[in-house]
Formats: sequence, structure tokens, C-alpha cells
Amino acid sequence: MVKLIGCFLLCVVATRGVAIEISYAQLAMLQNEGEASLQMSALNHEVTDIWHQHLRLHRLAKSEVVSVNEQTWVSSLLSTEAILSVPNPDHPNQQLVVVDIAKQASAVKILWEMKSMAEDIERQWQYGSLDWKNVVLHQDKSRAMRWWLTTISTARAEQVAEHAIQQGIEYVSVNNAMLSALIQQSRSPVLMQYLWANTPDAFTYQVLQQVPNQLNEADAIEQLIVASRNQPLASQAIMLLAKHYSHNQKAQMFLQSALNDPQLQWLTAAAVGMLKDSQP
Amino acid sequence: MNTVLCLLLVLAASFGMQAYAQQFEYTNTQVGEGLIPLGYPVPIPVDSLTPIDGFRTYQALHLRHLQMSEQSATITRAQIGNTEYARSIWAYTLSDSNNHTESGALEGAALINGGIHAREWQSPEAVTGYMEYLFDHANDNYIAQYLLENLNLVIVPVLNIDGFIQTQRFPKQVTESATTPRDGRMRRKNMRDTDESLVTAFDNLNGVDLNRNNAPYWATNSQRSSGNVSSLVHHGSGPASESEIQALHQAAKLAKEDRLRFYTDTHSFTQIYFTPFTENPRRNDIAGRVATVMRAANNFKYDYGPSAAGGGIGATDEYFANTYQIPAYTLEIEPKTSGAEYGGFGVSHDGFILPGSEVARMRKETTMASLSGLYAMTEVPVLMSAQVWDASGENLVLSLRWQAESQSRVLQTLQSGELSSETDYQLHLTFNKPMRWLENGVLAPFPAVSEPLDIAIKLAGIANSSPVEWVLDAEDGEWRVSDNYHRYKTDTFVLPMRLPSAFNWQSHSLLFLEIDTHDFAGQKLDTNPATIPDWVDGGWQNYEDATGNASSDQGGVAKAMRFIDDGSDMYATSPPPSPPVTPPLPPSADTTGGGGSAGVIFVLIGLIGIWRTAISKSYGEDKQN
Ligand SMILES: [Zn+2]
Repeated sequence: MVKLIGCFLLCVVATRGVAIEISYAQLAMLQNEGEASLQMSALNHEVTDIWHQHLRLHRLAKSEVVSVNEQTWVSSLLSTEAILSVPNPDHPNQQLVVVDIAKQASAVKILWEMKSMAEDIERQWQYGSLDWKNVVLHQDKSRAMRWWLTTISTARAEQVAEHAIQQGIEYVSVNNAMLSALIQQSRSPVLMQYLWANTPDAFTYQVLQQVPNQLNEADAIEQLIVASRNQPLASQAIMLLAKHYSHNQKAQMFLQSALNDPQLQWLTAAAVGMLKDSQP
Repeated sequence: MNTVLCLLLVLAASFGMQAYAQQFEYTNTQVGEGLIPLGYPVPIPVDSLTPIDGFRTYQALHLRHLQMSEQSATITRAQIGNTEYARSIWAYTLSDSNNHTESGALEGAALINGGIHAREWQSPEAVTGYMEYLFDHANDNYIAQYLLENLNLVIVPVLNIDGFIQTQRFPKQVTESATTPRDGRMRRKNMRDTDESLVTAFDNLNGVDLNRNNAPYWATNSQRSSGNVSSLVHHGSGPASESEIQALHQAAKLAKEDRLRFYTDTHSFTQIYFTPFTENPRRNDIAGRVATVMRAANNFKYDYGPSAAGGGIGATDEYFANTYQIPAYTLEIEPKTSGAEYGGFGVSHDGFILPGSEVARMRKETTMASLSGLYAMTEVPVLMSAQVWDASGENLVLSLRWQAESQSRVLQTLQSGELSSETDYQLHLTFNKPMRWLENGVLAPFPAVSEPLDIAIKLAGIANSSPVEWVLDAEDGEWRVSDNYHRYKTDTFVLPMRLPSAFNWQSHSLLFLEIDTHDFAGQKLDTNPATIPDWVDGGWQNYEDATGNASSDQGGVAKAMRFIDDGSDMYATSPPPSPPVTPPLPPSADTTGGGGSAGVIFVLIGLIGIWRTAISKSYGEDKQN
């Protein structure tokens, strides 16, 4: 432990850093040896210094309480060039970066700021002063909100979703990222309807894909049918219906009608007809 | 990382005990034991046949491929083998039913492989994107239709299906360590001697790196390929020991090996075109030029990395480059270095996890690049026909066309009239392929390679025993985009033409068109369309340059379109020039230069910028722009 503290002091001083290519064997040595024994290993001390910085940043990303000294240390690393890379397996002359201290330090700062904003959101929620406009229109706060939602219970998430519907729907309904975060935690059918009606983006497809795992059969079928009316979502909705609910009468009827809809015909035929012989 | 657990694992491994693998999970921003936050949502595969902003499941991709092949007359599928787990590996041929090009050549073939490395999800999406583009644009009268009608393209969308499905089964989970994650989402190799569970640790690292399983450099580089079954780059028990690589060879047979002229193996990441050089300098040169074309399609955001001949790592591009002497690439799709390029944290290996929001754009960019490369290799450009119409556009005055007859072409005169001076005409030049880059249907430069108006046109020949030239101003002409093209948009250039009073048809013993241009890939014209170009032994055969050299791969200025033919040799060497040629002077109304044959004369003919120049050099000489 004494040794570790000594190293940390050293690391604070040596923040300029260098990019070093190491072998997979050396990397394995770093990963497998205990921190104390690493001090005595045959590895270059610059390599072990970078590795220690990496491990400490990894721990700090998870810490609940952060000291001023730790904050200063992380900030001091934001412009370091300390990098460990290994040979890129795809090509003889390329490297694959496996440790990038500056990027890791930046991520730690972002995560800390996010948590701090999430604490504000938690307080605002408790005091009933949550302002959806302020959250949705502010990129960092929005990210903090989405993270906060992953930390609360389903019951609370349902209350938050209801609050969003009552107090902030004007802002929430047009933001697919916020809609999907709320839906993932609350499974709110009302918010789903908003999401399916918007222009789909990467968030929409991810939420839709999880509908069969997150809703009961009847609710899932209903949501998938609604989603299928938005053309870019149609294929996914139909394939999910065919894949998970082909035994269900309502799903069958819908698929039957989709087979007669010129816009949905081929996707439905492909999903229903070929599904059987294409199981991986 | 849990050091104690790590130590236990090491101990367990060293005592040969069955260990349970530690698992890690990628998250967006969640932190905690065993969690690896990326800073953007971790994509899970989606069951959509239609392309989306995200990655599709293997099942959805496969259904999409099936659907396209069933709905298109130009897409057919064939099983080329089986994976280690006995899944069928499919190849799709994208081509019309005949095996000759519209200009009478035998079609060449190209092979594009996807999904050789399981975790590189960009790859199956990209190559499926190529198929979807050709499917959606089969009748575009432009590049898609041109490729379908003149090339035999074979695409293997996913070669390592077992590995790909394994990564999709665990879209967020990995084992080993956060720094060097393996199996689950980060599986690279095939599934030889591997089960589909991550929990049993003993086999998680097994499998063969299919991109190390190839002749001629199989197991020749101990730094980058390994005999150890748990190595990330395990080369297997011998060249092509793996059924997936045997299937790839089958795909080459499907494309017809003796017709192959292009190969790409599609990987991610590092945003670069790698290409192995061989001992054939012509092949190397063309591989470099075609790489430039593919990079130009995206404004050179992709890098280029050739590697020296005589060595390798056992990769498939080495196999195709050396076995068939064709341009062969390893395309590494974006990002260049890490997910930080998309606002992520830049953690180890996150370049393999492209955010879902970048997928549609990536698909489009790689499609444009690959189609451009295929376009360059399908055919070299040939001036196929020339027509002169009267001003009304109703009466054809002159018409010449190269007509293919078995192994060669013959210049046919379809209309033979005479041209008069001071008369308005329209000159129509038709080429064998689309000649210009279109962006949203509008003529556009192809970055750093070609400009729309890179074309110089002259009438040249012999009048009263002296060489003459009548320079036409190409700026008055246009590439036909929306109508009046021959078969493909931009295959036809139309130019108003008016010859000065000094022009006298009767005084010419020889009169021909001199066209200096290139296709949008920068390839100059075949100077002798009578001999049909083909790809042979690592270079273009019968792609004559300015001197008639049929194996220089350069092309040149086309002069074979003769309205008045004296039967002279097109490539006759020039008499010594006298005096030396001086650069053209600025336009002047005066006639300058000395008398007799030694004089250099510049005559400005006002009207439409037609120049008459009595040149001191013979018409046979190349004058490239
Ligand atoms: Zn790869």
C-alpha cells in the first residue's frame, strides 16, 4: 500500500507521458500480476506507471466520493500522451491502442460530472421541482437524466414517466433519446406511442427490438402493430411479430393483412415464409 | 479489475482446472464491477430486413439477401460451403444473365468478402449495403446498372457465420479482460473447438483466425500469426484448413477464377485500404490507382497502406493478389482509432463497436467507395461512336460506330456525309461507360481525380498534304445526364460544332477525331478500340496507349475515329519537328509564323472558339492534356 501511494505521487509529477507499444505477453503480465509484484517485474517503469494510472482511473470512475486531490490528479492527465498499444491483429504495421490515459481521464471527468448532475436531478425530483425543458434541452443534463433512470427502481421510473407525460411531454415527446431511456425503465405504453410516431433513429430501433422481452404478449403485439405503421419500422415490427408471436391469433390476422398491403407485402412474405428455414 | 479473481483464474489455469470465465459487460455510462462504459449506447442487433441506423441480426441480413435474390433477375445465390457448425455459407452473384459487356468484351469478375472476423460488425452491414444499392438502383441508367450489365460481381456477405452469431448472441458481453476482451462480442476467430457458452472458460479463446489461414504466406510470420490455438491470430493446421476458407475459394470459382480482376476482404477498424504488393509492378500500380479511386469517393478520409511483396501474414488479400495477380484489398472500415471519434470514451477495442447512429452513413460511404473501385476495374473507357447531326438535330450527317465481331471490333460507317464550313452541327460522342461522377444526379468533380470538363476535342488530319487541327471548345459541350444519353447517364458528350471558312472537306486526305479525356476514375481512353481490352496476368491487355503499346495500362488520346481514312498507320512515328513546338500563344486575330512547312501558324476563328492550327508535328503524335 505504501508503494502504491508512492507511485501515485510519482504519477502526478510525470503527466506528459509517452506512447509505448508492448507485446501481448507484456500486456498479459500487466493484467495478471498483482500491483505490488508489478513494481518488481522486469517491465519498463514507464509501462508500469501508465498501467498504474490506468488502474487508478478505473477505480476512480466507480468511486462514490472523490477528493480534491483526486480531481486535480485526473485533470492533470487530460493532455498526457501516455498510451499503451499492442500490435494490431489485422495488420503488420498497425497498432491497437489498449490504454489511453488522457481519454480515460476525460471519461472519468465526464462520469463524475454526470453523477453530480444526476444528484441534482434526484434532489429536484424529491422536491418536485424537476424541469423537463431544462433537462431535455441541455445535452449533459439529458445524459445525466438517462443515467439516473438506470439507477432507480421500476416503480419510481413509472412515476417519473408519468411526470414527464403530465409536465414535460412537449419536450420529451420529440426527443427519441429521452423517450427511449424513460421507456426502457418504465415501459410506459403512452411514451411508446410517441416514439413509434417520431422519425425513427438508432434509439427507436433499439427500443423496438426489446419490446418482446419487456412487455407481455398482448401489449407487445399491440405496440408492434402500431410501430409497423411507421414505414422505417415496419420490417422490424413485422419480423418480431412473425418471430415471437406467429402462434397468436391477433398477430396472425395482422400478418395476413400485411401480406395484402402492397407496402408491406414483400417484407411480410420474407419474414413469414422464409423464417422457418433460416434459423441460425 | 478484481485482482484476486484474476489471480485465482491464473492459478486455476496453471493447474489445468476447469475455470469459469470472468465476464465483462459494455455499457453506455453505467459504471461498476465488470462494467465497461463506452460513452454511447451499446448497439444490440435488430431484426429488420430493411436497412436501419443500426446493426441487423444475422437472421435478418440473411432474409434480406434471400429476398433480394428472389425479387431480382440480376441477383442469384449459391451455397459455397458450410461453417464449422455446419451452417450454410452463401454467395450472391450480381450480374445480368449474359457474360459479355455492352461494348462486346467478355465480362470480368470481382469478389467481395464480408464478415471474416466476427466482431467487425461494420463489415456485413457494408457489403449488404452494396447489394442493396445494386438491388435498388438496378435500372438507374448509371453506375449500378452499368456494373450489373458489364461485371460479374460475387459477394459473400458473411463468411464466418458461426463467429458472427456468437458475437450477436452476446452483444454486450466479453471475457478475459477489459483491456484485451475476447469471445462474446469480441470474438474474432471461427468457432473451431469452441462451444457457444461464455461461462466455460477453457474453450473461449479457441478458434482459427480465418485471415491467417491462407497461402502463400501461411504460418510464415511468427510475430503476427501463431500455432497456439488460443492465440487471437491462430493460423490453423494448414493453409485453407478451415471450411470457411474453402468456401471462399468456392466463391472465387463461382466468380470464374480466370475472369477475376478485383478482390476485397471487408474488415474494421482503422479506416484504411491495405493492399499487398506482388512481384508484378503493373498489378501493383493499378492496385494503387484503384485504391485512390475508392478513397476519392469519400474525399480521402480513408488511408492507403500498401505492403511490400515477398512476405505476408496468411491473409486472404495476399492469397488473391498472389494467386490471381489482381488488385486485392483489406478494407478496414471506420473509425480510424476509436469510438472517441463519435463522442465515446475511447476505451480499448471500442472501434469494433460502431455506434448505431453511424451505421447508415457508414454503409452509404463504403458503398460509394466500393462501387467506384468496381467501376474502374469493370472496363477501361472506349470511345464507341461519333455522330454529327445538323443544327436541327433531325438529320444525321456522319455516324461511325465500333461494332464488336467475336474477338475484335470493326469501325462501321453508318452514315457518311460531308461537313461544310460555317455551318452549325452537333457532335455526339458516346463511350462504353458512364464517364462522369454524379452527386444527387448532378455532375460533380470526383475529388482530386476528375472534373466534369476534363475533355479536349479536335478534328485533325491532313489537308493539302499538311497536318491540320480544328480545335473545338469543349466548354460549350455537355455530358448528357437526364436524356439523350446512349445507355448510361454521362456516357455521351454533346458539343455544338462550327467549322471556319478555311475548312474544306474535299482538301482532306485524312480527317479524324482527337479526343483526350478519361473516365471519372481517371483512366484515359483505349486508343485502339479494334482490339478489345481484357484483364490478363495482372494488367490490361489491348489497352493501347498513345504509342500503340498494348500493355502499358495507360491509355491515351483517342484518334481512331476517322471520318476520312487514308489507311495510314495510327501510331506511325512522327517526322522530326521543325522548328521545335512552342506553346500556343494567346488568341490573336493575326496570322503569325513563317511561311512554308516550317511555320507555326495560329489562327483565331472567332465565332465559337474554334482554332485552326497548322502544327509542325505529325497528327500521329500524342498530345495529352
Ligand atoms: Zn479484421
